[in-house]
Amino acid sequence: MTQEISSLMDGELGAQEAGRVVQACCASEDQKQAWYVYHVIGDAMRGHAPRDTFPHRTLEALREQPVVLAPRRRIAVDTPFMRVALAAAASVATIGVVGWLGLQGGQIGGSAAPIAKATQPAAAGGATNVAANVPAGVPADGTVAVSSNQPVLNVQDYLTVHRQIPSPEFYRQVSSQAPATTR
Amino acid sequence: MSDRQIDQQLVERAQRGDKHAFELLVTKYHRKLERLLSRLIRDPAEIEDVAQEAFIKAYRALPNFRGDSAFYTWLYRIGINTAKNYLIALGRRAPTSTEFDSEEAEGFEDATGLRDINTPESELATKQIAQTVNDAIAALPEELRTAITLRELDGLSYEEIAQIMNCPIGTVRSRIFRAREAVAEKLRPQLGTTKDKRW
Repeated sequence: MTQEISSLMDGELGAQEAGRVVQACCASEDQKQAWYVYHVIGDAMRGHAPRDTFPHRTLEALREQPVVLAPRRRIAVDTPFMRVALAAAASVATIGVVGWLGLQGGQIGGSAAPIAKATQPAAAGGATNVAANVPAGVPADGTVAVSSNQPVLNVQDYLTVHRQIPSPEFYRQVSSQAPATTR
Repeated sequence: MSDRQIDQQLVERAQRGDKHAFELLVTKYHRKLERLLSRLIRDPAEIEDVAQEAFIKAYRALPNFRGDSAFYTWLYRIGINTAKNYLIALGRRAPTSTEFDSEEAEGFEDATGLRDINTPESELATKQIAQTVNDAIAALPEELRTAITLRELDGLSYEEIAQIMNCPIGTVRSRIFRAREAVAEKLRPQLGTTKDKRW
């Protein structure tokens, strides 16, 4: 192992091997001493022999310190693997959200119908059939009900009426009806 | 793996709670930091105190070290600030600049003209250590002496040394290690780090 410490100091070990040697260095008194003495030899050869023996005092003071723990640093997302993983996670999340919204939408439509039906009988007096105001092409099945003064539409009808791209037929019929309504 | 990367590995281990890793950094940089501090402080005992305080501050601040700069550059800044605060606390004037900036600190090992921080006693110890190392190197077989000299003084890689000495890299690795071990055997009693003695 001491030969590997010698190679580690010289920067001649790969990352994995260096990690293993560093770990061994930290775990063994003999390896730590080798680390220290080899550094002193290098310093002395370069004309910087230590002015004293060993930094016992500093190490003693260090031992009295509570152990520090740093939060783990965030993993860099620059690696190709991380990019692919993140893209996959984002796709799954998007599909999940869209699917969930779709299910929610179905439930709203399904649950709105009974409400409309329930309000229909009560609205015999106050209910207004707005089918006349609904453009042609919209199924005028009389599901529009008014509760108090606020008209309540079936959600499906509402969505049909307000769909963003209506068919050309829709415009044709509306334009043909328009003069009739103004009259 | 470069010197800086090795330091970074030690720092990361220390950040995960391994104090031994920081001890390795202390033993590696203690002498270098003391030489730096001697630019600001004259008294050797005070230099030792400030160096110790700087290392403790660095240890406490480890969670803030992100590895943007080399560990030694970071330690250098802490050391200089600790020394300035120390001088201010004593009512002495702290230098406004320290001549060397952080980048130069990287190559400070070879800087010349530093004030000798040795007391007569420690100067003797220093001379004895230097003498022991020189004698041990001189007593080495030539191939070991050449290998360790090319590595430590000329800073050549194993591959470059292998080319110069016309031998495989594995042989260079072994020669440098054997040279270090031979010198270490002579040096350990003087350093107070005999194999049966704990740090």
